[in-house]
Amino acid sequence: MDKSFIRIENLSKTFDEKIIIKNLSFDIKLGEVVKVSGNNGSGKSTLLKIIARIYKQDSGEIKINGENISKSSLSKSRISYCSSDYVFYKDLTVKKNLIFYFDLIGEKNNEELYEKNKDFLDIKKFENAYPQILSNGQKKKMNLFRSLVPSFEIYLIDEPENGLDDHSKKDLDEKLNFLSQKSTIVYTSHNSNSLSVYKKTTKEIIL
Amino acid sequence: MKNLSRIFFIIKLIVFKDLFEELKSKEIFISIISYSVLVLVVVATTSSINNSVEFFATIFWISLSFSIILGINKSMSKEFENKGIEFLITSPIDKEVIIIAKFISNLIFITISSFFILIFNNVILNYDLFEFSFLLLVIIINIGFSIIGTITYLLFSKVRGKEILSPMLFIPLVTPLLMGGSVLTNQIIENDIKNISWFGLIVAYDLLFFLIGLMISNIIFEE
Repeated sequence: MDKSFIRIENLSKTFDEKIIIKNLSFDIKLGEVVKVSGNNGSGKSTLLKIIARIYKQDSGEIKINGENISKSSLSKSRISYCSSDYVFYKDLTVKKNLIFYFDLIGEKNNEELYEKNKDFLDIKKFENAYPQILSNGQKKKMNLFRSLVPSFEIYLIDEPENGLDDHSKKDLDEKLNFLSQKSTIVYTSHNSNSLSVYKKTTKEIIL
Repeated sequence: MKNLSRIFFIIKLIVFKDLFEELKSKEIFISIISYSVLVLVVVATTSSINNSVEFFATIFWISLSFSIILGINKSMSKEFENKGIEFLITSPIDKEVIIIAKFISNLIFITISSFFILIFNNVILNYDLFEFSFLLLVIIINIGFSIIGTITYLLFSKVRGKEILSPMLFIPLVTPLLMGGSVLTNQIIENDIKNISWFGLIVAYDLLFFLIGLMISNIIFEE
């Protein structure tokens, strides 16, 4: 637990000449629950996207277990990123969208994984629906399901509880508590008391 | 080796997903084939010089290239609907793999459409070109169309007016392919292939843009 698992060194990112992140450095140990906080537009989502290799930093290094992530495609396969936006294919049902994702990330027993977990966030209730007819809360559940059900070493979650009802928040809380036993969780949230897993937060990065 | 087979598997998955969506909607096939056939019908009914080989070769490639950019734009805009492309970008897979998968999906769409267009050509302009050398030419030119069309769409994907800007860049970039296509089509019809080097040039041009696509994939998929 002493060794640094994720190391960020002098990270900077600019969009359209506007500095979003400047010389940011921090370490995260294996199994830590880390909160990224800051005002709107402070670069919280950008930071998660850089760690997930969705964005490329302008300068600085990110190492996972000593491995520079921009030089290794292996690092990317260890990270699950849950966007705050709703992402899906409108011509595929909820179930097909999720199984397609499990296929993409290389889950061998994708159907089995889906069937075993379909009670999580009540996905089974709308598994045969097409995503464009779903409410925002249901789309959010789809996003969380695809990111949290498969096993990863690192979970980067952008505003996890946003838009969820109380019952689903409880479900999500249980899942995150379970994942935090083995994996590293980095999240952004504007509401620190909404989930019990947030009490496990060991570090806060303020942007 | 295991990594390579995984890459092929991901490409196959994305391509199959695209084909599944297209078989459901048929939007891309319909837009490419109907536009191209419309041009052929107009040319056949309004022009009196449509029996010349040069005229046929030129009109075939022009109608194909314009309808193909329409089809590729349709295919890519479908990918961007409801942030479908972000579905892939936010997955733990490399952006180079995503762009190769899109090249292949678009190539399949336009090649299937091209064969239908050839059948209509046969009927409307009375040129039977179902022979190996011409089909090979269509495929290697379609590879270039698919790669360049995908890149030009992605380059302008975040810009307002992308539907206009993308063809404006696509047409000049595919001009060498159209030139090669017209020259070789004439020679294939006349059964006298003199400039075989055009085949090599077209393949080299395809390869060049394939490498450019891979090199800029990280930039064009970033917001």
